Amino acid sequence: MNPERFDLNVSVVSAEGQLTLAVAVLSYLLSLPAKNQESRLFASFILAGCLFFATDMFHNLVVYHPFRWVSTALSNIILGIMHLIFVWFAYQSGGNSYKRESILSFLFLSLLVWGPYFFLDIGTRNIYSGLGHLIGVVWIAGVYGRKARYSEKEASRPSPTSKMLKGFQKWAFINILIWGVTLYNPMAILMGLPPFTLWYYVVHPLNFIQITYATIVFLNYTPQPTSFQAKVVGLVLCPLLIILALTPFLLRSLIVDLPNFALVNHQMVVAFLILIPLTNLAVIVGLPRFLRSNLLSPLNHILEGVRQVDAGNLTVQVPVSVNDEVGKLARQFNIMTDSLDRYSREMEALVAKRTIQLQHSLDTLNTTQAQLIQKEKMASLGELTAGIAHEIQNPLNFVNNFAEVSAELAEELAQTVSAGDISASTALSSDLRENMGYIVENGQRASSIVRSMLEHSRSSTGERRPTDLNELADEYLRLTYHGLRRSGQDADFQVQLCTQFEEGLEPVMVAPQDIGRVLLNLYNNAFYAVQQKQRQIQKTVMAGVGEEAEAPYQPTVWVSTRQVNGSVELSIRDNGVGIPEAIRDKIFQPFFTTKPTGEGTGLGLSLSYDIITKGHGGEMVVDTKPDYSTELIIRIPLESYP
Amino acid sequence: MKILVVDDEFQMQPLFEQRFRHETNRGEVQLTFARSGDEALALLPDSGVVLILSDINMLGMSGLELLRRIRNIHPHRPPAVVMLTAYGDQNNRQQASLYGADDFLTKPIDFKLLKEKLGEYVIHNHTTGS
Repeated sequence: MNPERFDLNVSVVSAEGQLTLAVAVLSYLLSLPAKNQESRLFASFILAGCLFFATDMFHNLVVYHPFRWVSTALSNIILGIMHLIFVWFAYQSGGNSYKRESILSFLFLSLLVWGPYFFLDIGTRNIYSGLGHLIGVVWIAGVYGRKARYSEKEASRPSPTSKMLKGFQKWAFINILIWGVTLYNPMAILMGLPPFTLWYYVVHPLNFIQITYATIVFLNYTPQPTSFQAKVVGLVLCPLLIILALTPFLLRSLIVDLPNFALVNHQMVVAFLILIPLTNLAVIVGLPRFLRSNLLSPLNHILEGVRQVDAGNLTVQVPVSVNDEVGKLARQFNIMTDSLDRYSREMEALVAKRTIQLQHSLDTLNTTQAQLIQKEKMASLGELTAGIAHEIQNPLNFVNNFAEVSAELAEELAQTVSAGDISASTALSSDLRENMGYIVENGQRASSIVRSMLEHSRSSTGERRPTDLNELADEYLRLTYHGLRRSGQDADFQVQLCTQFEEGLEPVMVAPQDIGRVLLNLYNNAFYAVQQKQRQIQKTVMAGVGEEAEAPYQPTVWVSTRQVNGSVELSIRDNGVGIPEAIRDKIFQPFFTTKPTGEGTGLGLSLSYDIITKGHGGEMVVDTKPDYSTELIIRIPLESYP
Repeated sequence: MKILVVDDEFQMQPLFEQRFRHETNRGEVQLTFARSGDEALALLPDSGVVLILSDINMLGMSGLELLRRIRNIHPHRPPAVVMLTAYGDQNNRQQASLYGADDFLTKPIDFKLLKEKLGEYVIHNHTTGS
């Protein structure tokens, strides 16, 4: 090597270290699949870095003046380009939300960096261009800060993008430090301040750190898939190369006084120049292999095991190849799958056992339910009894009355016949015939009532037949009303009944006994409501609160039917106490009752609701104004329900 | 005398007609029938009815309500109002007399008793009541 043109010195070693690192990073970035615009920009920044460090290496190696001039010019050009990529990348990363500003700042910062070379003389242009760089990186730190805040505000919490932008902001801070330190010495000379002789101890490590740090931030937050190995390699390589690149500086200061310094220095520099690429190679090739065999491949086995467990295979076991933390993890994983398998088996056994218990409970519940329903039926029959008695008493009265009067008529007939009065005899015998008709009719009425009572008590066969709802509603209204009137304490109770049955109502396919039970229930509820209301009013009057209203309370129950849109609608309305808002959605629930304990089963409305909705495919709705009225509307479709 | 029978059982009509056959033939009694309280109230004005026999338990307006309304228009007899009911209970009886009923008979109707009492019902008694 011609010593007049080239000089091996420690700066070459440092530049080589940086170049090696940059090349390693660049080759990894290029090996990543599916590149986007950001990764291309970042890779080109690293590429420019490679070129710069190569030029720097050459610049430090060469002493021949024309070569040095070329390398200086070249490194300044590359540095300028790097700076512009740095600026553009800052605006592009995480989405460019300042389009106009990005173009303006790009142009302005280009002018600051490139301008001095065109407009200033050779003595000061490097300083001014350097100042341009410093202003640029300070500005960019601000840009990253603003973008990070904006992104955080938009997502209303720290997001991956905002974390990446904050990381890049720290990268910009490192650059501020680099340019600050770099600029200090020329500025100090100009201002007559003491120079900072150890500047390369600061700038060189910072260069290593900025490449590694920016790469790790980028790899952490880029949407592309990256590898854990690369990050570990980067983290190991960076300090290793910092040490390797700075050691020659330290050694040089130790050997500078030796008589054979030139020779020793040369040998040392050559040794380091060889050592750096070798170390690099060793780390890049060796470390991933070690990671793969000791960490990643056992971890992959465990990952596969986790997937199998997720898929339901609880008997999976993974190989335990190493005896460290990863090995422990694998062993623990195997223990865990064993336990899971055992638990699962125990759980299955337990579930089977519980299922049997539940089935048993369900059977008991079904039996109890059937019993309860039967009880409710018998209870409602009890409510009916008094009504039925009255309903039977009525026709029986007629039977008695007509029989009595017929006996008289027969006696008279005997007299008129013996007197020979034919016209009187004819009139009497026609009256007698008529009376026999009435007797038969009333007898039939009594027996039909007994029949329907028996039907009511019998378990419902649910057999449907065309039924005149008007007739059914009327029959049960009478039964319920008279039942209420006869049940002792309610005997003084008067209620006005208003019926409005639409004529020509089509017969509905229903199970009459079931619908009868519903009607009985709804009527009883209506009577109960008006009765409660009357008691309230009586209490108020007795307590002397307020005077008796001009129109006294007239308990009234309205029953009406009508045919609407293919269904028959039956409405039962009362002007009773109404249903409070708070319990309105509970009234159809089983066992819910407002009656005192022992007076209501709480099953009436619930069963009625089921009979109408499930049994007949109809609907039952309630409309109520508390303290004023309640209306229950039943709609049953005319087509026979399947 | 003109008698109005109010009952929602239509067979009351032939029963009364037969029971009062002789009285009707002799012109002593004229029978009119109403199937509800409303019908009765509509019939009443200028009908010359002196006795009303009304059932209590009727669908729609009850007999007691009918009684109350009649006594609002005619505080004293005529017409006399006699309540007929299958329930001979005390409460109904009290309620009826409170409303100004002249008598209270239970069903099945004892026509012999009714005929005996007819005379009492038509005696004008302005000294009772307020």
